[in-house]
Amino acid sequence: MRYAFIAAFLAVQVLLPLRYYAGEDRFDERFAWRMFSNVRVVACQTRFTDASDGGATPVRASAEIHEVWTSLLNRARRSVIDGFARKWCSERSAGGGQPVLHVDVTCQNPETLGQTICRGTTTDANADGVPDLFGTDRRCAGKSAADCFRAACGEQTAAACREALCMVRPIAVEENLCD
Amino acid sequence: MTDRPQAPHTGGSEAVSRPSGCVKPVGRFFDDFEVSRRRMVLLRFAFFTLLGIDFLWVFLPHAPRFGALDFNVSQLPFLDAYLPLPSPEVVGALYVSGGLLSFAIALGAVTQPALALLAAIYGGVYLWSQSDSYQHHYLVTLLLLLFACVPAHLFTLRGPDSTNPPQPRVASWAMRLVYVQLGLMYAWSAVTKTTETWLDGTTLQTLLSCEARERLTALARRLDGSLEAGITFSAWAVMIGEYFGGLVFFTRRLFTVGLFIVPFFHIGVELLDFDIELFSYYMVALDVILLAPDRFIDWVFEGFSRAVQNISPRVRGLAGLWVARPVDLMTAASIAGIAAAIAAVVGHLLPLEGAVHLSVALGAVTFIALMPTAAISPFAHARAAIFALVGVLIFGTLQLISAPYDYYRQWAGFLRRHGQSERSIALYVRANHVAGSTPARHLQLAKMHAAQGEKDLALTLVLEDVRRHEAHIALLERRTRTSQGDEQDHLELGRAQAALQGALTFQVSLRRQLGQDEGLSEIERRGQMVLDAARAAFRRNIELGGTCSAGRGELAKLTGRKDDGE
Repeated sequence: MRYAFIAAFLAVQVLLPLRYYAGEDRFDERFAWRMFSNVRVVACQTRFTDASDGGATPVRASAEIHEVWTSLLNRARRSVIDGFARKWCSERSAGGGQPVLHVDVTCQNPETLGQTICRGTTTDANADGVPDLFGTDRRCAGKSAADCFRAACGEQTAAACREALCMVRPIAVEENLCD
Repeated sequence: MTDRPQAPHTGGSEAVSRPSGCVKPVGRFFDDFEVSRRRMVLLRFAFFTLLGIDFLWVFLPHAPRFGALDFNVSQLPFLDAYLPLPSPEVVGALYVSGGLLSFAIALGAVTQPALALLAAIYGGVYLWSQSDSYQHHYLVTLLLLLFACVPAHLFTLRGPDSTNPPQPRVASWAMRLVYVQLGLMYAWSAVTKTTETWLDGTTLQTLLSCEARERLTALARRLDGSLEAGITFSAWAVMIGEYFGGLVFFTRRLFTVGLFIVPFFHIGVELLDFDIELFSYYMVALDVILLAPDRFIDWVFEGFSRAVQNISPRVRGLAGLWVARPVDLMTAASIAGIAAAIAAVVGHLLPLEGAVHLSVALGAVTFIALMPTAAISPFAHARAAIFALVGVLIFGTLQLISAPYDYYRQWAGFLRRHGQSERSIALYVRANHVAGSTPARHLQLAKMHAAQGEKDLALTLVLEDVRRHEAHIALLERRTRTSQGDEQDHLELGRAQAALQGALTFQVSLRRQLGQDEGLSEIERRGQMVLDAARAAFRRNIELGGTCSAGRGELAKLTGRKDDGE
């Protein structure tokens, strides 16, 4: 009996973290011992939209749940997003009608946090199309700011490059969470 | 400590069934793992004391978030459809019960039901809601599960019964699993850090607080290096050290080396102000106690024994005679029942919501923990005495510490923000009641009554707020005069003065609404003086605290207040 317990315990301790690395949801780090991870430090914005009447009315989640849950929403925790959607949709269905709830989750990309274009701002004081950060970042040592920027972003503008490299959308906007 | 493959001492309580075939070496790895009773006693005292502090100081003020606005997501969401919604009353009662059990176990009232119950309470609340989902809560849940699999007497210097002399070392597969668990945790944590963003220092830079950055910059300057280089070096050191930490807990020969490396991550985490509740303290205690050589553990115990020897032999003789006297099943059950009844009464008197829940929970856990498990119970008196002592201490402590005040304050504030005025008012009243003579939340209560049209009551409350703030400010001013150099005192003084100015402004507005116009200009003049004093206190805080001083943000908040001089 105790060997079964030991085997089960060890299996859980190996498989649960492996499940995180093999899975697609990199924002739910529970049970994976990812202390001080790069995911923990990224910022996300979670915006809910009520599209029941064909429009797009913003839903203020913070008015309907405790702050502690709002902070989990802003860490792109899928199970909490689904939980909130269940609550919101069931409350709206109770009043009749077919609720439609969309969510748009935008996060910094944890993998590219350290890249120059993803750090700080894209302020360009001399308007040369190269963010000022490229002139001071130690990663650009030995290169000109323009070369360093082009190496990272190619011919894209700073804003487009930042959007493509530094941001991720873990949850599709089109999905109706009430389905 | 040893994991040498010799016939293990099981302390007489476990019938060891031996594995065969290819499972044999794995079986021996777990079954032959010995640990000294002295180490287990130290582990019990340190770990369960921290857990008791966690329950009462850290967790209890969080109870109001459970089930707030009828929302919850459990750690295993597929169970949500079957689980009841948690409530602050139930979770609060479980936290206090957990505190009682933890401190009682730390002091020696350790029984198998007590260990199992504590694991169920802590793990149950953890799994019930993601609202408190730090990873160290998961670790503590697993450790408590494993400790519940260790025979309770291994946590004491006594044997499983009072007749045979106890073995000083005992075999425990569950304790081996504790080591394995910690090793796996360090190893996985190292895997997390094997990324470019960790190793180039980006993640660590983002985690640093302003104060920590200042400290590291100063250190780097002294060592003729740069902050960036120091952070990159630290990031690599942490990753390599964590891989090593993973190895240490699997390899006895590395224990002593590990003792001089592994705890320092957690000491560093505290020095760098990473806010992760008591995690660093748990880990330092676990690392030191589990990795220290036997000689160190013996040295600690011998020092403790010498201190005990100095207690009057008569007192020790009387206590020993009484507490060690074996009693029969009925007497032990009666003792458990009486202790449970006392615990239930204490629960009813605690300054928390849900007196019935608290009574039932405390009575039930006391009875289950003291329940006799054999016909003869040698330590029933002692365990009951420890429970009684801990119960009284918890009752006294909850009158003195700020946890009950924080519990009511946070709950009331949350309900106020969500428009549940009646319930919020009731909870603010309780918060003010348990806060003693501090300023508490009289102003918030006054504003809520004023919003309901009860302006006379609101004025009474705001006057009480002003009186309490003035007394508090007088105290802080004395403190800042005696400790000129303490930036924190100036910050606290500024905050109290800003709060007083807010109360005076509200008082003026209320009096106008009540038609009491006499003396308003005098109150306004005082408000301005207090506001100037608050600014001066924040400026002093900035002077003393430098770049990171919180006074900067506080001063900015005052911008826009009446007669702003900034």
